[in-house]
Amino acid sequence: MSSVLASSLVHAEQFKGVDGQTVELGPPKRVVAVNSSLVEILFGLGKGDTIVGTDVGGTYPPEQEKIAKVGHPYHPSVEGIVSLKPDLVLATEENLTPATAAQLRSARIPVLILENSAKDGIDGLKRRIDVVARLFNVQEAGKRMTQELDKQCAELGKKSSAVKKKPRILFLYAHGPGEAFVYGKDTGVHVLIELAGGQNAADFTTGTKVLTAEGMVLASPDAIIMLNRGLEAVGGIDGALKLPGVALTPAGRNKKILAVDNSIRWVGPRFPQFADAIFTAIHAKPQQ
Amino acid sequence: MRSLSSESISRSGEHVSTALGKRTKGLLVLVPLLVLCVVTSLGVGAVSITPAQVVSILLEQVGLPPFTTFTEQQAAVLYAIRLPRVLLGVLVGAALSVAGVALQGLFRNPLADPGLLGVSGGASFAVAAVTVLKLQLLGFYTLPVAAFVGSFVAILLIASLAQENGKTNVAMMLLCGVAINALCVSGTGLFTYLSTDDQLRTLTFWQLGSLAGATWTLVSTITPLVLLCAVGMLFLANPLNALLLGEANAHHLGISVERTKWKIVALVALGVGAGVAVSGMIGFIGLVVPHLIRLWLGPNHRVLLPLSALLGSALLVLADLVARTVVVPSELPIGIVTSLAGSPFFLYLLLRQRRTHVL
Repeated sequence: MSSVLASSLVHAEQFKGVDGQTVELGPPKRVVAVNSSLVEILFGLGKGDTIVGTDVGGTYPPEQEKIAKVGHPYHPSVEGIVSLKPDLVLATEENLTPATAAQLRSARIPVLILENSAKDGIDGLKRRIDVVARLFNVQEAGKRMTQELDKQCAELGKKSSAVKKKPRILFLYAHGPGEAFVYGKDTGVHVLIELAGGQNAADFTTGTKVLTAEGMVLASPDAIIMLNRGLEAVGGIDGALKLPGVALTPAGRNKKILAVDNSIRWVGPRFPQFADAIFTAIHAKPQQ
Repeated sequence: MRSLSSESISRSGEHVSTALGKRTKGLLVLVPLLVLCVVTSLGVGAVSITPAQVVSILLEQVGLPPFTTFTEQQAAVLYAIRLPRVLLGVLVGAALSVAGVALQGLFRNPLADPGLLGVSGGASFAVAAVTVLKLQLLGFYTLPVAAFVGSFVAILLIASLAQENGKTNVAMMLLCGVAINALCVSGTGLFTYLSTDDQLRTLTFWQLGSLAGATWTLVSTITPLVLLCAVGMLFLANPLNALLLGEANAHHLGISVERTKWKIVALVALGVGAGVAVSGMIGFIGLVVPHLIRLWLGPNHRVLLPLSALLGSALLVLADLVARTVVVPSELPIGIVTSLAGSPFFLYLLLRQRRTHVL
């Protein structure tokens, strides 16, 4: 017992969050991870079994379904988190407001705030993997994970540079047939499009804009990406083709409407795989 | 009308004594109810704390020896998270209910509530504006302060627009309230349309209402405002009673009608502005609670005001308890709970009243 204690003390280290708040701890044993990307990183590093709570936003891996849910990814319940007796709450800036983090800290729960998952794309992802790996003292696994990412990205880069024209791709976030948002250039989706060798057909930088028929025609995308649940909500490909302006674009004419995983907005370890699938789908011959 | 007022004046001695009797009766029911709700709410939640532990933790906070064991975590949850949250519920519930009583009295209309007068609408508009325009002037307190200023400006605007030859036209005020409210709603809509994903989420959560952000700082900030509203309104109980007879009759009874109206408007803006500022939009409490007390113990404001404050507190604490326990370890926005429980109940009340020919 004493040796276990000693070894955990040896690894106690200071970690500074992006909110300027520091936590000092050894490898955590009970973590509440708010953010699907962090959950995927933890499972990828073989530390998925330390997660005792997460938000409702995750879909991967299947094991995360069984973990207690502490609420909306942007609005988790403070008491819910405390009741799980975590020795660390791991989240990104967008998931915990400063006030929520302060409430958790007032209940003496260490909170480490990392960069937003869409920040700096794959580089930002590698930085988050690095912090998590150091937290859990599994630097080797962390290094393997980032090397794997580099490898996959390099392969993607080779593939897409072999194609002369960069296809114009648009991301549509839809809740139902009546409404959809287009995602701009500071989002995780933009990273995905670039990685897939495309260019974002949305010409604006910040955030999202409501889809209009004329805006869609003007953007003239070769392919449109939607979330699985969004595509389902509008009634599949046929429903998507009925969204304002879509039928008038090259994407609409060629029925290049691609569905991606619901957790796509959190830039996580599976990002190159998603991008690869999109690359393949875009360059597939149109079915007759 | 005249005979009613002279009758009520001639029987004023009897009137006061029955009012006191009713108030005592109400207090005997509602004080224990509030205490019960508060104690239950303190103990129940994602982290469970027994009543004995609740008392022990509180004793320890004031430096007395605890009489039962509890974990440090339980103490932290109770003192740092749950107690401020329950107290916030007490304060906001009281503020919304007292404001509801006052507005219903002022307009002699049982459907008047803070939402109708643009008080909540103004707050909502201001919150949407600062969120979307990224006016983070006051850090943490930007949203609360904006909500407060928004509701205050809305109600001042309405009250001034309703001025007519130096007098406030109450019917005009109600209509102005509806118009300003509509303006605020479209303004909020415009900002919602312009908002980014993150901002949209902030707005949505704020509009659903929640006591989850409760901290000691927030509680201590709004306590004086709510107390001022509630206690100040108690002093207006008699003028409010007189206003029920109509402005002319109230004037003949020696009430300074103009001054009373301005006092009511200012106190409502103060209480609701503070409440909305820290908890977002919480519907129905201000509408339903005064109704319940009026049906139970009659329309005397000396009874109505204090008892509505108590019942409003108890119901909001209870609603918050439901909000944070039904989907543990997650939680619901409280506005959903109050409207979900409040609307069917309100419909039932209306239908029952119609059957007994009150409406």
